[in-house]
Amino acid sequence: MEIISSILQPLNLVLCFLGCFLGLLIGALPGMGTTMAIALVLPFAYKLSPLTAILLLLCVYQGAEYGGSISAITLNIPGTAGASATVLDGHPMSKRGQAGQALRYSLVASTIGGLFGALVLAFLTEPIGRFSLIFSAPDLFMLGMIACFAVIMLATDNFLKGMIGIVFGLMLSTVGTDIFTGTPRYTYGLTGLYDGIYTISMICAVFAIPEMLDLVSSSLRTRYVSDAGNMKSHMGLKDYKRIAKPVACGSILGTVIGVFPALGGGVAAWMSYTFTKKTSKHPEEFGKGSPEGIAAPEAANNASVGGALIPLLALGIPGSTASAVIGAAFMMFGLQVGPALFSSSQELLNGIYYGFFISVIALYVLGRLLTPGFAKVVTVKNSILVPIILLFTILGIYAGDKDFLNLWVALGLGVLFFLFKKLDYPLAPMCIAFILGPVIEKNYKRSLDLSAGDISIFWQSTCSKVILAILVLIVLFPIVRAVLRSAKERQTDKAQP
Amino acid sequence: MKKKTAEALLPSMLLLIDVFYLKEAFAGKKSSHSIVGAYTFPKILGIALAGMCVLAIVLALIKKGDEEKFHIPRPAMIGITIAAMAAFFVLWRLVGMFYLWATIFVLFLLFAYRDENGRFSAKNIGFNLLLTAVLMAVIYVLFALVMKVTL
Repeated sequence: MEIISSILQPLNLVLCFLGCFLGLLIGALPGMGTTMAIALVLPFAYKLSPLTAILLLLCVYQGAEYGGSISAITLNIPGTAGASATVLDGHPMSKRGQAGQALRYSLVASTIGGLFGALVLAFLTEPIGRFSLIFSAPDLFMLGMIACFAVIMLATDNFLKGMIGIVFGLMLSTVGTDIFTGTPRYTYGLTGLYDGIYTISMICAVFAIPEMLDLVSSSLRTRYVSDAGNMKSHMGLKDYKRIAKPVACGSILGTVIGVFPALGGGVAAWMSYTFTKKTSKHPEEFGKGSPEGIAAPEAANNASVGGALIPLLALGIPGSTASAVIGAAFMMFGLQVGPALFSSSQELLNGIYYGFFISVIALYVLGRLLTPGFAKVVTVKNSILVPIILLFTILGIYAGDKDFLNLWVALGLGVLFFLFKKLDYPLAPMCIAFILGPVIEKNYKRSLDLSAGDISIFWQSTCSKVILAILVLIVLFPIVRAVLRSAKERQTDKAQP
Repeated sequence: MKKKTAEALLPSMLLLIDVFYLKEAFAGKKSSHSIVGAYTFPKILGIALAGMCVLAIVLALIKKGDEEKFHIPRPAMIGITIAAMAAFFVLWRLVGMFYLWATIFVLFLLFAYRDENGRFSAKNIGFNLLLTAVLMAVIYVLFALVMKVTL
């Protein structure tokens, strides 16, 4: 009861609504995305208590996942990866003059999906977290490696570029004082680097600066045309019945897929859309403005928020890039996500479970009140957005430590990562590797200290063997996929004279 | 520039960074009270990156039939943005007066991005000034009054 009353304090409630508002706003803007929304708000959370800060970020996460559907429906441009499947039916419905109705379907599905994700988070995190207490240092080292590998194996096409990104991210995480020996590494006499590269500098360098430079480079003068004409909506029992099955399927699929590292809302939304279409009695209506086609992916992408938090809280492995940034928020408060959280911060965890429900309620309330307004905001030109976002990025980096070095690090890395982005190097693995770097190195050292330098410690216990097998499967998956694909291509080439 | 040249240049740049990284790693003292020293992990990472960068360079150079051009649109505007950020950091650091430099920074970018072929309508100028003023007011309320952060 104590934790509920502390969550329901006016400041927490105000920040929950503010977080949802910001998430909706940033998520609705084309080209911004969920991770960008959380990354932009993260620096402003440092003055809050850990629980309030995490709740604020969760609300941004929820808001952005729904916000992405606003531009998908009204502009035909998904605001987030999770809304990419919503375009298929959302925009045709909007073109028919039913933008308000399409957004209503999206909001209801997002809310139910978010609630389902919240329930699963509340009931599953604890048992998985308690189970994970049996993990020893070698297991935790390999779990960290799994998280890094899963991102490049499942979410990128170029293995080598992904690997370079991971190793570079891990290298950046070694900057600062070594916690075992107290030796300052790669600090070059700069006291600002003794605690390592400032996490917010790194997150802004990965997600904000390259994205802004990309907008300056490619779409500064893009004019978006909104189809948000008729914003009226009404949902009767018949409408609820119609979307009940896709919402249920989307919620379950979204939560399950969200749990797997690197898959996230985008994959969840597409799988849910495909599954719903295949099992629908009217598959011919899909792509022409079917309510089921909106409800299924929207329920899935919001359900994936709860799913993605389960591995983060229970194992310390982020289920998505967005949850990796939330993991960085825990680091900002000196909290280590994973099994240790269950013994050190049980109250915080309980607060997150309850607060998650509030985030969904806030999403529904704000969605009902503000969606028509956001549908107009999404047409703001990038030439206006970029200076505003750049200034807030600069302020966010500076406000935490008040060290100008953090600004220079962010700018330098941001420009480098912009080149990475232009040459199709995936940036998300780099950020995840940077965040997990200290955990991976700490457990690597502990393992070898325990075994007196014998590397067989990494596959001695049954637990280690299982984790190693999963790691091998993750590594082999894209290789097998590539071999099968090239064999198929060869067959096709042979068939064609 | 051909894309394959750019594909070889970026890992070459990373390789150069890696050389400095490895140089410090190998120059670091070995720990006396731990099997794994402060630089053991960096050495593994540095060597791994070097290997992967060499592989990426070789793969880029031997790639056949790739005549695709590597082009970043509007390089001048990107340069202006980066230079404006750098100038903002320097002036803010040396002179202080955040609100003055922030106003100039935002106005400069707005005028650069919303250029109407070198001419600006009164409406455009008015909009840029109004937007910047509102933005500064929001920042003042958020940072100075709510978060109590001195800028």
